[in-house]
Amino acid sequence: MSETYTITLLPMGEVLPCSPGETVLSAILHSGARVFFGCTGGGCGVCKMRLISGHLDYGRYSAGVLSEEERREGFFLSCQAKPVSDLTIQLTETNRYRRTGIFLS
Amino acid sequence: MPYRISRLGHVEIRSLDLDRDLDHYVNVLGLQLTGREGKTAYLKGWDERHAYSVCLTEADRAGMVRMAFRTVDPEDLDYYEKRLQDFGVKYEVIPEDYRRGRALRFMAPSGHTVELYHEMEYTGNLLPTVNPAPWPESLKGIGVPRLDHTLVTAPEPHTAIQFFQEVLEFRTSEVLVSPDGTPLAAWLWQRPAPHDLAIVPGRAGGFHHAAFVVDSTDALFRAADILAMHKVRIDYGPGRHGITRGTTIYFFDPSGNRLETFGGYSAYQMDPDSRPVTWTQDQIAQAVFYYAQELNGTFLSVYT
Repeated sequence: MSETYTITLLPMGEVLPCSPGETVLSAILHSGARVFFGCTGGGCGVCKMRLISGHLDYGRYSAGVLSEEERREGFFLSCQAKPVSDLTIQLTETNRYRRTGIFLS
Repeated sequence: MPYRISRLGHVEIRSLDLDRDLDHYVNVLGLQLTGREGKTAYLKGWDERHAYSVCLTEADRAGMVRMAFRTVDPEDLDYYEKRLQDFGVKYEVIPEDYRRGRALRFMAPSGHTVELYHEMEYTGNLLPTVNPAPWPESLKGIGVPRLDHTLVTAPEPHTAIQFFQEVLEFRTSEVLVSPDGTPLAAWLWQRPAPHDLAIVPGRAGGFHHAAFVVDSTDALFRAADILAMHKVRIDYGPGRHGITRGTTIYFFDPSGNRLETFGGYSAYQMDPDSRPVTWTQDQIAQAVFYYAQELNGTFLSVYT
């Protein structure tokens, strides 16, 4: 957990750093991008994303919003999950990704 | 029609990590921990006179386990048992629960477990009953005095609303209607307050929030300060609802259950013959968030 990993967001191909101990959602928000998220407690499930490659610590989340089957298909809750390797994530419309430009460095 | 239910007595909320979440409920929300048994902790606001109003139970998911309403008199439990029979509602009798007496348990059409009970151990509030101060100095965090109401989701809200109105004799303070007049959401009361229970569209058994009283403008902003100091995720507020006129802060517990501070200078009182206020669907945004005049993305989609 002490390494900085990179997160590649598809379909944009954008590459972000994820600081040690940071969740995927937090890394995306810190990069200045916005995605749709809810309770940030692993309870509501609206921040669900799909992992294409890499490994995660899934964190603690509600089994009512992320089934074992979904998890096998690569889904995870971005507000809880932390990378344990570099990741590639496939975003969909439900993630409502946008980058306003205000925070672009 | 006499009042037979005095208030929302207690809610049981699921926690993904009880020790972690207790820190939030005790040190941020400021509830009093009154007991712990197995995987459940029992809590109450400082001004509540019975053993508990919140049960927090560790589980593999978030959300609501049950809501329980307290009857005014012991006989009212018999009255509602007869009524459940008359309406053909299947129920079970729970002989006793933690520091609580006999209860009737049944499933509402909204998919929620509902209980009615009367007896619960009387503990008194945190103040002496002779020459009391207005509030105890020992409070932590927001220091909420009591549970106010809960709001839950139902796939067919009008069916669930009708059940609570007809079988349990809830009165309606406010209703949000579709263009054809069908209730989409309703605010239902038993105490002479804006609501004890509200129902909005959503998944069966969904838990939108439980609300605790915060009853002055000073206390509202102090509550927001405390939530922010503790880095609690605030969903909305401080603000005001069009519906009920109550002041609000929506925020999440660490397991993602939404909680609310509710009340203040504007929430009204009901009379027995008060008639419902109607909100039309095209005004839903201001009905929910009076100042913002638009729904945030999470109000209708984020719940546990």
